[in-house]
Amino acid sequence: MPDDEPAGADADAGVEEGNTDGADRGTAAEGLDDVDPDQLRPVIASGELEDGDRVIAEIDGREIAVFRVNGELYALLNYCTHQGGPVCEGLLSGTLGMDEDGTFTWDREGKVIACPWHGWEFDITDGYHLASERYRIPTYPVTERDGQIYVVL
Amino acid sequence: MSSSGSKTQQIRSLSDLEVVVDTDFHLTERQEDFLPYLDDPFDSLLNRETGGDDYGFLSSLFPSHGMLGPVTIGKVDNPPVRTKRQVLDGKELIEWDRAIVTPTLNLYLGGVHHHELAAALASAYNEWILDEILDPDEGIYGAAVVAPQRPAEMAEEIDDRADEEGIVAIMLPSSICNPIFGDDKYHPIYRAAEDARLPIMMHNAAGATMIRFPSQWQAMKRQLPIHVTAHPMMHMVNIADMLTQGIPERFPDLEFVIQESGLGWYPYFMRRMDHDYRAAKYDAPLLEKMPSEYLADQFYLTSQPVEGDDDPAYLQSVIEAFDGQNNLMFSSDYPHFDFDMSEEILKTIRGNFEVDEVKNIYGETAEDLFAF
Ligand code: FES
Repeated sequence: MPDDEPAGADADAGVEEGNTDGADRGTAAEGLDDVDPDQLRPVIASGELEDGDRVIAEIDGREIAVFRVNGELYALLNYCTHQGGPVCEGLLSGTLGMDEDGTFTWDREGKVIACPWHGWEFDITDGYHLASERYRIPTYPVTERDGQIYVVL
Repeated sequence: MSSSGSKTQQIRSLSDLEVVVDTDFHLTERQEDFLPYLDDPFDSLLNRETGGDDYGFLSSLFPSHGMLGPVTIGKVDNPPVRTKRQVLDGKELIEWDRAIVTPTLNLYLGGVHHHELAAALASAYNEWILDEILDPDEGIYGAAVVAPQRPAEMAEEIDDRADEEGIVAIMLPSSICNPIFGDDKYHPIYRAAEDARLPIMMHNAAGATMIRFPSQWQAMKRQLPIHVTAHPMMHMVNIADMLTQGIPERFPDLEFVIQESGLGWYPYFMRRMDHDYRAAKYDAPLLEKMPSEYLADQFYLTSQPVEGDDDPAYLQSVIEAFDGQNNLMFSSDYPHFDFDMSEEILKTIRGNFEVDEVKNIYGETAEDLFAF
């Protein structure tokens, strides 16, 4: 475990990872075992965040939301890239899609957050706006250990 | 005259402004807020504890579009603005010093079928805002609503409300009206507002605007308003629907040429489509790109009738705003009455575009598209 690495460098790496590759972006504890403990910010006790719930915490001056969906944890900044609305306080649901026959489908249930101000939809697993990669909510690695949920800053 | 540089330095944030006036700050009134303010006979008719089964119809006296909007499906969480306290909450967020509160439900007032009731509802709404909402000491001003169905009565309503503290405008709900607002029928409203020195605010209700299009078209008694509006409006209606239904996605090799509508509406429409789509991706699930990108890739515009041909700065900015250097094609429309001579654009734009760009507009883009 590279505990001797400077915390700043590791923190940058963690955020960088989150911003470039949603699949590896600390959706669960895996891959975060080697995080410097100094980077861990406690958010809530594991038992207090049930599946389907979210918590919004003030961490180092930032409002960060942690969601637990289908057993996975996701952390996003509670600040909408559109006009600064409290995006993570909106409706967490799915969205309409369409299959090849032109029939409406209900997709991504539990993974789509709609900003309560103007309704922009973002995928909480990678922070991207559903309509355009030009817009993205910052995401953070998140991990759960010893009965506690942490985001990595 | 100060330069634009010093202008921006003087005003860096809202706090550098002496006053901020919000000229369209909506209440989200419900029927139940202002129905108690109805006068008789409608008070006795509708505000009863018992009697009658309304089959659900009277729960909305206003026409309902029944569309799935971001608010109705919960994707947008609009805070209610039905009390003075809630107006003040909004004041804090938007940071105005003064606002003119405008209605939401009553924007649909023109669609209320019972005309006498429509007039009574306007009056009840006005009574409600005067009683419960307006407060000039807090900067809360209002527009008195009038029902377009009953102009003579509404002229009296304007006379009655004009001197009330806090009323600074008249709200004429502008969709669903029939006939349209050039008709003599509306003169009493205009005269009363003019006499009272109150500006008339016009605000459509998106969900009901189209209800009366055919009859509104019939109500246009001259060619000028038809010709000015018909071409760009019809294109907007069709293209907005084509994009929403994913036509360019289903037919990715198909190209469209939009004709005879002038230029300025097109860059506006591109941006307005993108603006709304970003909040309603779910409504157009087939799209993989922003609407403006489909327009840039698969749509072309022909030039006639070029508006603003005496204003080179305008034409240059409009053409650049939709990449007309690559999407605009010269057209004359000869021999129709509003045809353009070949030099019409050239003489205005030649100093502002590269040689290649002018060549594109006059023929190269068409050479490619039509594969002669
Ligand atoms: S601020 Fe979030 S959608 Fe506009």
